[in-house]
Amino acid sequence: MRGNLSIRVGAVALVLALAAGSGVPARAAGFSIFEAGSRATGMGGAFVGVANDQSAMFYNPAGLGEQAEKGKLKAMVGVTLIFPSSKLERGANPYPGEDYTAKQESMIFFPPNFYASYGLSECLNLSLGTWFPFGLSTDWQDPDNFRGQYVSQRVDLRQYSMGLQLGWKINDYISIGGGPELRISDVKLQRNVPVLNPFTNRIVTAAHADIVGDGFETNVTFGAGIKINPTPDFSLGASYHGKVTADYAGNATLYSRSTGSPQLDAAIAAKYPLNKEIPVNTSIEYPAMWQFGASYTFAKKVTLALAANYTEWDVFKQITLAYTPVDGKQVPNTTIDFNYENAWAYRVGIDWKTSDSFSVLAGFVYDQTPQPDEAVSPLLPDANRSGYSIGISAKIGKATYLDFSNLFLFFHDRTTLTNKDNFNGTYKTFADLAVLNLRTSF
Amino acid sequence: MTTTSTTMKSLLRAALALSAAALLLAPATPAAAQADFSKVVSIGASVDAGFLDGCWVQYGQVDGWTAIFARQAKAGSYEQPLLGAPGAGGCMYLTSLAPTFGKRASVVNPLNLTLPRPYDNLSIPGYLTSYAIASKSSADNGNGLTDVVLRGLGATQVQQAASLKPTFVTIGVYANEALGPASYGTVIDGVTLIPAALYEANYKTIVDTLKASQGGTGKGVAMLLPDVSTIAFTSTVSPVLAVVNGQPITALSMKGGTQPLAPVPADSLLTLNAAGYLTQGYGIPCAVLDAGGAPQNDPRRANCNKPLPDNCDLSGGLATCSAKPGVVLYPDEVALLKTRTDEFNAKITALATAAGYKVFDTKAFFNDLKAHGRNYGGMVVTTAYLQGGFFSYDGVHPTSLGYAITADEFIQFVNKNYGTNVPRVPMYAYLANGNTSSGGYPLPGVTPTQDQIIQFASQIFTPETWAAQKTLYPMPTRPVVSGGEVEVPVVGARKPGVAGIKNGE
Repeated sequence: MRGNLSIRVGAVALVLALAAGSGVPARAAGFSIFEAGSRATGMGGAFVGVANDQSAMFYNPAGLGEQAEKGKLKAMVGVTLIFPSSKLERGANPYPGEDYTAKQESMIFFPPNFYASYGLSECLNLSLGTWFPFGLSTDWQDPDNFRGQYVSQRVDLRQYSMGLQLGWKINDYISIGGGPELRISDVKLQRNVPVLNPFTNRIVTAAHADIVGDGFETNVTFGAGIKINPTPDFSLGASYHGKVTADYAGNATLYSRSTGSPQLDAAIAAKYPLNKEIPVNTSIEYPAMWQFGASYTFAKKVTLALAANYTEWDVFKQITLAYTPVDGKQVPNTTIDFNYENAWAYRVGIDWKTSDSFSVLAGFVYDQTPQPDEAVSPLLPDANRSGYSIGISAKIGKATYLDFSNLFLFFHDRTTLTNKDNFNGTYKTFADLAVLNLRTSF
Repeated sequence: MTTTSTTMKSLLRAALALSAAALLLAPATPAAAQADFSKVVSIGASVDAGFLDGCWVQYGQVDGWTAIFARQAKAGSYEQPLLGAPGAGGCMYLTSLAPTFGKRASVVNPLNLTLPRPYDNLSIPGYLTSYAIASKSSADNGNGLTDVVLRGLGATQVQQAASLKPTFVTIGVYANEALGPASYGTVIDGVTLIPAALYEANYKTIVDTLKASQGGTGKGVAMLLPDVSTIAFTSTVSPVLAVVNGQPITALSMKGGTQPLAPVPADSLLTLNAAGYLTQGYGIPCAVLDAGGAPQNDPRRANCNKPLPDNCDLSGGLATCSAKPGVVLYPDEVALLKTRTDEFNAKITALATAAGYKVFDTKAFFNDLKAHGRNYGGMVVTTAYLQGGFFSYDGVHPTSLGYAITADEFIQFVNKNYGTNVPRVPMYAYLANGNTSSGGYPLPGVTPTQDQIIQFASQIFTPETWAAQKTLYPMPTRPVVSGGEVEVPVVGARKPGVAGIKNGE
């Protein structure tokens, strides 16, 4: 037992250490992340009507009530390893050109999750947990020669959620749950700034803009859910996580780049505060999300689950970067239009309990992009996705389980010919997501 | 269970709706291509010839808008009257952001003179509709470049185009009838500005000749004229010199050269030629210099409170006019130019449409470009002089980048109107290298001294040297009768012994 415990503590420490250095890519439609637990991921995310582990905090807080055991401390820790692969498979005319291709840097991301709950009674469960509901990272290779360098070279945006929830099993038929969520986020944007060199009639780089949020922005919202069991084998579930508006204060730095013309360099330096921190403010609205679903268990062995989730992406309209003048020089404010649309994802999953200590999971998800063609850009080339998942859950101790799942997420080829910055082409993206969780109770 | 089946039905309905949507979104059968680009022939003036930076040279020609279109349309051999470096007219290059310019030598060095047939691009800088239908050589119109293109083959520009039996023609931007008066700052109806009826008669001959060569139905596109107030040449130098107590202080001139010295209305246009005068103090109220703290030895003080020339000197016809152009376009002149341009455009539209040609609205294109620019991956090209990337140093003609944008717009127009699928223009080379030539747009290659800069500056955009550029912006010459009366031109009439209109020849 002691050995087991130290392994567990070690695992927790490892996960937390990883979390400190992790970035998060865009791996669910738009930039929401739906992989908050291994079993849920193995079932294609169709977990709102199941919610029978502590990732219920994300999928359906009502599930916490059903898991209540008085005096029991339960913990679940894990990590999602994300291996994305994304490229501009071919550009289009007029820009960047039919012969043009570009790749993103190879990346590995490891957003962690951690949940701990305590049974206040046989029907009340208090839970504290963290997960990553949103994340975006794009990083183009050879950024100073990337033809989209004036749109975006690199973006990192991540939002971390910390929730405190109470689940209440009212009776065998109905449970509810919910509680406040602290959302902690930060943002980074990098791109080059172009200028026409009138001596050479070429567009050249005047500066490199590096915009960094100042520390972490914190906002509060809430999550809630309900689970109804018309029969012991049949469940319906619904859950909701609220939106937040994150107002970021940060600094932009325009690093000077030689245009090749000293006169032009001087003219640019006279106009822009180069190589100095320029205070900048921006605001990003993160959408609310609904999940609806059902599950049915056949012969106590096979659970079939269906779910649909609806994300209110239409709040994500634009990002405006508002700069404060420095030395009397004003950097023009920049507005990036997104104009996302609300979007559905459809999920189906199966959990086949092959023995008392082993389950096999499988699932499918069709995730609709919220992104209109105009907004498909190097900053975030999103697409509809079809994902296939498999997983296992094994009992490895008296009350300890090891869960592992893998989601193969195929982004449909996304072609835009109407990008707002006239940067057009076809993007191809694939992501492999491996989710590992350890669950135990004390 | 009822709820489950309801959920299932909802999902099923969603799936069916998605399938139906997918069917609706299936690509429509493309319209059958109705254009044959196997023989593309172009006529027109400087803008259609790939003229830029005040000169006509190979690197401009190969990336002219008609040449880019022909390339994208895979028109095969699209022969042009290519001119080797340094080019005809003296190519300008920027020497400082003041701005000051250098000028390369002007050498007419034809590279394709022995082509045993007419060129596919017969556009000639400085051309007018009257030249297009009547001039067979430089002797007919005084434009030395005529012979470079028509090469003594005994036929006019339009006749040579027709002889090629084009499958697709581009009838270019014959805008010098409006641009000439604008560039001389002198818009006088019937004197520097021809009546729409005359333009119509000339254009009818162009359209009829080409149509006949295409089996009686025109195949191709006719270009309208832009509003000349949208080009950098007329929209860069502001007449407002200062704002005092919210009131604009404008430059001084004498309207028509006869009215008293007075500030020009704030909605006047000054040409780029005004810059040369303003730097010498002309047009500037001395009080503005005082208020601006100009020192007593400021050389501008020698000429302050003196007028910017409104009109050119018409006492000796074109010769004296081009020697000393006016630089002010008063609001009534601007209005007249716009009205007349609209009338020209109405005539072009009616004639070209009746003949079967599609009509490209150059005016709407330029207006849109001026209002919004064009964005290519975050690189925004605008019409702003020296900063925008669309207009070349001469302020009138596009850069190669500007021509590429024009060609791209044109291609979209052709595809829409002819159901074709000509690939849009790949813009990268134009943005990153200035053009598609090996090595890109020529670099200035010099680091001038201050003395050189002053010397260069004195050569460009100054009244004294304007005459050297006169062939670039010719006017439809109208005779001036002694005694100050102006002869009203008669449509289609030949005026023996007078250079200029030679209809019917």
